[in-house]
Amino acid sequence: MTEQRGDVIDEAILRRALRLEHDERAPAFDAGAIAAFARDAGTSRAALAVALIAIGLTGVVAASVWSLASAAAPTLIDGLVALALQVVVAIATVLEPIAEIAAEPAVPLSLLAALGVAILHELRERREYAHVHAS
Amino acid sequence: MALQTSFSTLRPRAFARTAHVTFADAVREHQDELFGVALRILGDRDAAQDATSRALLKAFRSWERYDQTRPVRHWLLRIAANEAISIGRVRTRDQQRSTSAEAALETPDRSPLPDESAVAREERERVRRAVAALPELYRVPVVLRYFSELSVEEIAAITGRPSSTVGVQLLRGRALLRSSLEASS
Repeated sequence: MTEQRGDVIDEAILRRALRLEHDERAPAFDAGAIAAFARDAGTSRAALAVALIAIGLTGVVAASVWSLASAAAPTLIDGLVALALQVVVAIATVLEPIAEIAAEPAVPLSLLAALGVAILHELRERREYAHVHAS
Repeated sequence: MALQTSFSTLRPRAFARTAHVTFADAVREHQDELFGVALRILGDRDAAQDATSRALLKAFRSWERYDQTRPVRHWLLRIAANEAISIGRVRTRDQQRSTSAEAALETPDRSPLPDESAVAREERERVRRAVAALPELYRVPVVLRYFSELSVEEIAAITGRPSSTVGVQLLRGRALLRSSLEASS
């Protein structure tokens, strides 16, 4: 302790200064309002907890239904899976040659693109010509 | 917000048989002191009101867990002091980010005051500003000692520090206040 008694502020001065002035009186704090606010905040927390529990229960119920369905009607599930696979195979059968052509075209794609642009240009020219001669 | 709550419902069930102090009684009895402690720690009325409200809200939520064999006044003072310190830290961070223009507006008016009482009041205000500017390590014991008139042992119980430490912090706080006031005069 390095401070000497004379180096510190007088206690009486400190007490007088810290005392509340007349215009510093505390506002009235309403215990009822505080309680109501605390209950409202508690209610919202409870609602959040209920929502989380509901989500969890929904997941459990969905998993249970799926398990039950699998157990009770395995042929139905197998049929659905087989049908889905057939659809996927059919789509793949159509897409595969298109993908091959796109990957290794017999005619360069740039040539096809140039042809397409030329056709569009020609069509536009003809349309403008017909429009001029009609008016 | 509906404020239909009657005070009778504010008596926690767990203490209905053993305790005579309800939350409403505690608020009524101690709100002035809690607000005063927060005001002297923060040096700002709005912030002190905020700190007191938060402290009372926390107290209400913990009321049923509170050990009523201990003085409710000390328990509430501890919550209020902690809330005031928390708010003070946030305000300090915000002030550090803000421009110095606001600080310039808060510069104390050094023009001559009209009469003796006004001079005395200005002197008290200087001391209060110096207290509010103390490091929080010293500010809380100083406010609890010289505003709430608690003993060193009571302050030690509230702050969770050893009595000897509180004694040193009070002395050091008073020394800092003196040097701060001498520097500003």
